[in-house]
Amino acid sequence: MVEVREAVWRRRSGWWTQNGHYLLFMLREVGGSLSAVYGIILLGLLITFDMGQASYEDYLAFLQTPAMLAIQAVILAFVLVHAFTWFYLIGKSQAVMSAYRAPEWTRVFGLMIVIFVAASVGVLFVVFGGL
Amino acid sequence: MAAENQVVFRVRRYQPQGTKGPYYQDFRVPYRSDEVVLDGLNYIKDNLDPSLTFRWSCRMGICGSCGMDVNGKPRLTCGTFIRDVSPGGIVQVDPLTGFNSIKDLVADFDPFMEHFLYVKPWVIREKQRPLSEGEYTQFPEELAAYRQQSLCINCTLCYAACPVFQGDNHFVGPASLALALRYIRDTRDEGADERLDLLSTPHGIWECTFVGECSVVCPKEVDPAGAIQSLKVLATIRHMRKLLMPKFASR
Repeated sequence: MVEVREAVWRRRSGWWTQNGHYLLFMLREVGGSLSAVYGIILLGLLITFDMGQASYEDYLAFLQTPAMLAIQAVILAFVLVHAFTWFYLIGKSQAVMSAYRAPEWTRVFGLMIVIFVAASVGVLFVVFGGL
Repeated sequence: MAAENQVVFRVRRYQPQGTKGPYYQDFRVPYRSDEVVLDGLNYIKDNLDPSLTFRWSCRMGICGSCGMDVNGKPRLTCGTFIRDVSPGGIVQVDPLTGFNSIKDLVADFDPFMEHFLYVKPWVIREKQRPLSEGEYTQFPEELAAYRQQSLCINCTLCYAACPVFQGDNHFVGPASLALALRYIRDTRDEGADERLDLLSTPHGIWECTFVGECSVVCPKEVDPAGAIQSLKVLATIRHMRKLLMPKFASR
């Protein structure tokens, strides 16, 4: 009797580079992890604040070194990708908002951007007293 | 008749009784601008190699049989014009990603069929009404609530596009989950709790990481990604109700 076999499918390494949407997904996930890293950096502010003025100012100076500024710029870029891709996806799942009719995803996406910008401006006003 | 162009079809071949693994074979195929990839495959079968094996049936995007990877993207070959996918003069055709191949372009859909039945894709009633009492009726807006998910033709393009299913074929997957939502939203159905119990598992809705590609490739705009997120919300609401208001846990 002749043996009959199936050709077994295996995922190729680097699969996420072969499609723009997969790549965006991976960037979004990395952005999530990096936002946690930035949380740790901010936590450092609290810890050094508790240790006294000298420690706090040393930490602030450390954050302003070229290497740390570069790291923060990279984190910011990834976090923006994370935020915008999530806004994009939220618009695609707005069926949760209404049982009978989902709003156009472009409208939801636009609304999310407006809220994001408004919240950012609000935070800037609270923290710095203005733009 | 319009002048014919030429294109190379690079087709993945696999003979289950052969000794060698999958390989690619090139076929030179003439085509007109109104012909689709399925026409090209049928040309090969009729004129160049009758052993080439692939599924197809209706040729009009209804049966969902002719899904294949065309240039690396899951598509219905009956709805994909050759002129749109052959800018370099080559059209590469593979069986759908994520499934084993039985022969040539024929994918083994057994994993999908298991997931499909897992979500109980039928109207569940706690107590069946006798036929003599007539059919279950609905208002048009009640039909509209699940119409989008009911348009699914089970072509499995969404599975081929889903990197989660590709990494773990135990994942219930986009089309089956969209179908689950279709029945949960159906006012005739009383099986929401039963289905949400089945789906609130590691291989159910919570395995979806919302890549969203399933909705991109869906030829019927079913939006399985959106459906899965809706299921997550429903499951969460139900869980919180169970915790806070046990008497009102059901929808």
